[in-house]
Amino acid sequence: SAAADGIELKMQFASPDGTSWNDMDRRFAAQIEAVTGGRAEVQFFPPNSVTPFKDWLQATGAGLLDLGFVWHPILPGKFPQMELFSLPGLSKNQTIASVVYWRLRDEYPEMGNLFSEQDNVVELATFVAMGSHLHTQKPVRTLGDLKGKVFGAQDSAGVKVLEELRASASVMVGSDAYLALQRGAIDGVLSAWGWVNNFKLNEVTTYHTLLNLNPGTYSSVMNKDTYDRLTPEEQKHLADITPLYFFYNTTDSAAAATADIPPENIFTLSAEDQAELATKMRPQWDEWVTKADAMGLPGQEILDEAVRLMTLYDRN
Amino acid sequence: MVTQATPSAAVNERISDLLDSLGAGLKNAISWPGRVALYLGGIALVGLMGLMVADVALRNLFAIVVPGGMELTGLLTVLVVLSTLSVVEIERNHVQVDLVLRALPEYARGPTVSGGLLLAFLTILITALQILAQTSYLRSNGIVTGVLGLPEWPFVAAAAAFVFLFALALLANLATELGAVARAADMRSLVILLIWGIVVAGIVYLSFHPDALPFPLSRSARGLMSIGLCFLLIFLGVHVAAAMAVTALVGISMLISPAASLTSLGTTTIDVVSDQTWSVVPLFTWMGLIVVASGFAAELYRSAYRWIGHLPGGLASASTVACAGLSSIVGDTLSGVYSMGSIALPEMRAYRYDMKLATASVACAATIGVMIPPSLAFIVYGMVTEVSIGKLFMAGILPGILFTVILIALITVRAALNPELAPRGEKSSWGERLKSSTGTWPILLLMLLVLGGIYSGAVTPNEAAGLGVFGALTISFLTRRLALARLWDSIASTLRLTAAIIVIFMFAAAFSRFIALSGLTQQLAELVIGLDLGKYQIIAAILVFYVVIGMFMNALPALVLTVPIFFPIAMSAGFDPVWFGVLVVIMVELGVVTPPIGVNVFAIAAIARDVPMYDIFMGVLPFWIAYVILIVLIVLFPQISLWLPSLM
Ligand code: NA
Ligand code: NA
Repeated sequence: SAAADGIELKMQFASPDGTSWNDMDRRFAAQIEAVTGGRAEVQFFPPNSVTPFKDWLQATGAGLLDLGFVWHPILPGKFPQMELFSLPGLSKNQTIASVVYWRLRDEYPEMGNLFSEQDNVVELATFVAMGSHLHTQKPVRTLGDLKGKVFGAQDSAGVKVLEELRASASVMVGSDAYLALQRGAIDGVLSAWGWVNNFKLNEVTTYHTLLNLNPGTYSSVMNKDTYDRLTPEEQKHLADITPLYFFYNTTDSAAAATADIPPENIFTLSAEDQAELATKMRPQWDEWVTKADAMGLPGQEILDEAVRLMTLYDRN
Repeated sequence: MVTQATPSAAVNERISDLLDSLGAGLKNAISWPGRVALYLGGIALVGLMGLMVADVALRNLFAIVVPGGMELTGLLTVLVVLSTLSVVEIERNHVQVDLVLRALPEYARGPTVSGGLLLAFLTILITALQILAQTSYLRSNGIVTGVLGLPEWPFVAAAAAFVFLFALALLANLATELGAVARAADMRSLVILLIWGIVVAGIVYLSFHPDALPFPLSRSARGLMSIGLCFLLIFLGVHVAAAMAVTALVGISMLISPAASLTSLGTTTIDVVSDQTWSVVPLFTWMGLIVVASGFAAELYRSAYRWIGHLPGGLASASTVACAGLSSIVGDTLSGVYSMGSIALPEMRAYRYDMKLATASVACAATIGVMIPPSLAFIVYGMVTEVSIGKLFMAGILPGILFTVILIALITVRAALNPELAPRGEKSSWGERLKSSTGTWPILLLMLLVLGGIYSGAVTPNEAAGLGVFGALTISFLTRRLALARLWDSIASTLRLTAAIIVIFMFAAAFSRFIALSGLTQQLAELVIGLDLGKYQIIAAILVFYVVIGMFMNALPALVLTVPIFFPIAMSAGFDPVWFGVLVVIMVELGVVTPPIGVNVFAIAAIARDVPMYDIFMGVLPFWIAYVILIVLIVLFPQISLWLPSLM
């Protein structure tokens, strides 16, 4: 019978061994193996060896991998509704933002229409990631310090923000950012703490300005044919353990990255600067509403509800 | 008058005429789209250069960037890299290993070439269709670029069209080749042709119906079988790119499924050619060709000849130093091969150097660039192992310089022992030397611009390449050394050279995905661990393993796949992580000059078309001694790599 068959689950690491992301993947894999009573066996592949980030969704749908990590910002245009969570200044905390997203999905089911029949994947869970901060060689204490400087950013949302603040920026992958910083081609990087760990940016930057801008969003997905080979009970177990996967992710990265940084090298913006930042970012919020309206979603209503929920949960 | 030919000869005549006219007709039909593609590629190349220059100028003068500069670079790279695939095929200049082909008797050569072309045609056709499928995926999902919001699909559609033209060019050459086989009407040829037909049909059928394999095979057996197929095809003279493509196609299909295999082929190929880091290859190539076309390279070599031409192998040594200098500007070896290859080879030829020595010295000297920072290979190693990239960079400097010295010593000794390799010139007077030096200022200025730009931190290697082209053009025009016609020639040659080499990388990436999925590297490593060896035996075993993997894999994929496996072994044996990194990087660089798949040699072969691939690999053989000496010195005296990092 189907239940007696062994299932091989192919999974690819996102970053080199020894980083917290991979420990998280290993724990998740161990849990899957446990809930299937050893029937499923996870096989790991090194980062980028089977697919680059960009094609992870397609690779999972086609069965090159069975479990996949889909980083939404790397496919601009594919998940326009998720760009809500990348709006600068909207979310302050990754856990709260993820819970808000799940609430919004209950209220507006279109927010959850992420994958098509053609994608051939089953969505296991979707989360909001950590926000970006500035990691620099010279101190950036105020928004004024940004003017005329050159930055690398982990995504295009970050580029837009920096250009808004009269700095110049381009999207870079972590390895290029390291080189560019080392040679002094850029003054800093706008990225999440995870990057600082995984691409060793702490070797080439000294100061850190906490901005919490533009968190990306991501989904864990499973190849649909593989998913269909699981028994209904196994499928239910899988749904139960997936949020844990996210839980591990939230806790480790920032703590690991900041452990060795002297507190006087970490800056927070003044209240005035934070207000100015919010004003400058407002047009991007309006753009999202227009985009959502074009998709037939009640854009303003969803945005207002997101703001309301963020504030509500933040207070608790 | 009535011919005495037999009826079958008449039929043969008719068949071969038909095939000939089919070949000629196809060539005609794709000649104007081919020319349009060439112009498109030319515009994209100029655009690429303009974009880099604008970006650097705006950033340094006004502190602003060209919005979306990086993504535009990636999109333009697609056009630059693929536009001339069909032209290169019509000219029969795609990279092949002619080793066995040259040894075959006449009657076997024609059908073997035909069979290889048939396989290449079908593989490239499938690739074109998969890229087309990727076009519709991007279009239907509304996927755009991140900053500018440009739709990506039109560029991918252009890629599909270029690859389709490539397939048609293969078909045209196949028809012509078959025409020749038919005309010869040799029964033995027809039998070989029939065998090829059956084998090709079998491979393609198996790609879509992997379950049709008549006997059960383990995963590793399937992997080994596919790798064996790849080696065999390459040795039989099938296009290297096509051999790797078909191996990836049938291999992943047998390991997972046809759908997975086809998706991998379509996505991987586009990923490679839309990667903006590749733009350094065409740009540095172009810079080199401009310097050559303007005659500045010739002046540099005339001057070098005046200074050291009387020494044994003087010009090859000068090339080694220049090549080391230029390759150390960029993070990879290929740009060094291209720019120095196109400058140095014509000169060494003019001074009647043995072309085996000439080509091999450039191919090997270019690997110095990966030891001296910046180096993509060290970055990859640092990423995988958590070792400080800054320390790795420092650790590579002395081995890089040492390798330069060893290469020069080796060249000098070889030339001294066998003067025919490198004819010695007459000793020049100091007056002549100084006079000849005045003509070298354009190249020194360009080196200063490119090197200074990168080390001062003002520009990235991509931008330095763009600036280098701009600088070379400016100097050439101001000194009236470059006519417009020659300029266009340099653009067309750049596009041809770039297409011939990057098409290999395109499918090498697909091939390395297959290797990763097969788990073969893992098993080999387990074999090494299972032997239960002492400290230095472990290093020796690992080094031997790298020689083997270097035969068929590129440096970066080999690093990504093997370092996670060997690093823990080396650490538990008590080796220094930085030292081990230097050794591993040298070993994967040895791989790029090792047959059957050695990209540096392929690149040199694309430049020096009259030198057979076989000769270049044979020319590299003596230089293996240089790698061995370097490795032995670093193993015996770890301080060569560890002293500089210890100062940090
Ligand atoms: Na270098
Ligand atoms: Na090789």
